[in-house]
Amino acid sequence: MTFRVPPCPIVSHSVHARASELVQLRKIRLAAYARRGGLCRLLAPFQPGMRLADERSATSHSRKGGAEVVVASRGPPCGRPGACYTGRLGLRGGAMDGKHSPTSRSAQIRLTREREKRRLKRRSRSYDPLRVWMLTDSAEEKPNPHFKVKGKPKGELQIDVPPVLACDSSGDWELLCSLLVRIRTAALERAYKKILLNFHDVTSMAPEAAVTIVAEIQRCNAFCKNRTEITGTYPAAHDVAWLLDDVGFHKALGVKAPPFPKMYQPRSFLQIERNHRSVAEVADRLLDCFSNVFSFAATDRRRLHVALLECMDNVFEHAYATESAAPYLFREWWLAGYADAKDGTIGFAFYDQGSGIPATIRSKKKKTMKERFVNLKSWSDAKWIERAVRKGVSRHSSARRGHGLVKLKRFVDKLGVVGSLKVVANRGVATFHSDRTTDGAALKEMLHGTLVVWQLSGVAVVVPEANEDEHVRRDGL
Amino acid sequence: MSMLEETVYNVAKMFSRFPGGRRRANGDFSGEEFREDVVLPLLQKYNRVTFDLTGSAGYSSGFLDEAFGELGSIMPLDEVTRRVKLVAVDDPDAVEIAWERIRDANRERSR
Repeated sequence: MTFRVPPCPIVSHSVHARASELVQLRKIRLAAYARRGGLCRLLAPFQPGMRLADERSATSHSRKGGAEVVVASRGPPCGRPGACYTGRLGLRGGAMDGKHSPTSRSAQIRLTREREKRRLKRRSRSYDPLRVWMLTDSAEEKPNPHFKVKGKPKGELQIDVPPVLACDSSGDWELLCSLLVRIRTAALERAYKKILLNFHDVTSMAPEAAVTIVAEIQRCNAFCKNRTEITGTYPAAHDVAWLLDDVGFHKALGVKAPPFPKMYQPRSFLQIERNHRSVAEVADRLLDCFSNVFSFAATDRRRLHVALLECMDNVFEHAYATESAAPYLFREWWLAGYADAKDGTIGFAFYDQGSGIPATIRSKKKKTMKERFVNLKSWSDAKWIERAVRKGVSRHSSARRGHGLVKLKRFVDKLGVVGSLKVVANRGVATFHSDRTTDGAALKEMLHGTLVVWQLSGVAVVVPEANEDEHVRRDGL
Repeated sequence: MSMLEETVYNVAKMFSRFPGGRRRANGDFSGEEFREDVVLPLLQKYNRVTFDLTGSAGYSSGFLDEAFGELGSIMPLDEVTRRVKLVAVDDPDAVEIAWERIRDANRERSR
């Protein structure tokens, strides 16, 4: 409950409250804080006729420049219309303690600044603009306002992308993670004016690697588009260029897609979706796109749909910590489906740039681990991922929670063909095969986020032929 | 006010073919939205309600927990079993999971 104090000499404030406000005042136990032109709150629970501060503190504050407060009530519930209640309000805290009103202009400005700082600090306790902003329904990405890019733009940096970016062995993952770290560090921390991603020598690239690279570029653009320009060279290999274009790479860089030969037939088919909410239609739309490429059994399709939905929900609930100062695009996720006719594979990748499953579990279960599972502290990230996907882990103590991650595996477990589920997060990668075996590996480089990949291999994939229009569109003509 | 006897509510036809996640804040057709806007008003109006889960694209565990599991913490288990019936021709797992969550919630309520 606050009152705007009219500008008046600091030694004698007058606060006029209406009767209705007095009723509320009685219920509220507040500390006093009166100042010139600022906000005024009462020291003690207010009762009609009572002194607002006890005698000793009132006297003490009075000596230090305490304020006389007159609260006038009109009508009920005080019972005496027009009656005035007087009391003293002490000045507490801040620059005014034990001091008289500053006389010089500079001292007044300094004091005003300090007060404003304190006011903002107080406000943030009860009102979190970030929380409100997160709840707003907006189609735009939500960069973390706590993260600020620093430094003036300077120089250029060329980052050579490795010729082969596969996502099979732990070495492949480390290569990809180090590339992502280099891009992010250059754009967000080192403040380069221009970053050139050299894709010219890239001969092969896994679709999930393309998704993570494009996501990283989109994240960097969201934070430092005005400062750092990220651009790139076209890959010499058409397959890679086609894949990158499919995944939205050229769009993210704001450049035209490279020209493709008229007779070029793509070996892969890729669809990508990006959002920051749980939208079941998105998952369904993606699966629909693949109905021409691969025919799912109805139950398999439902299991995959549910798994994708669980991933979206996990992002909302756990991935991005709102109190973090990390360069997050809050709740953002990327979902890609791809099919490769040459390899006979079909896959779905879900990626978020949050803190990662093992880091989330560790931070949420810190207390429990300390008390009960001391040996769990030594678990590797891969082990935590495996545990979370096999048995479910929740930060809540409720038995109703923590069943989502288990559903990711169910699709692979009950699949009729050979398949696998890979979960990469932080410094761990866990692979769950359809024959119920599991591989885990530790990574030297860290993936900031979680990447979930479902892959079906040895299937007959029919990649839709690129027609004339498709070539024209990609040529940007 | 006396309650009506019984009704059948088809989620896919009357709510959405694409049920969403757990929380209302995380998108449309969430479990929270379904419980608050559909399940509880129906249970206030009808003595017995059959929720037909057939025909939807799939239900996340968050949706099922929030939509039906929460009933276990609102009312006693025997009342839920007496008044609520869950059916899903094409997705029996969803029914099983929903009842599991109801029982979990009820156990936590009685603690």
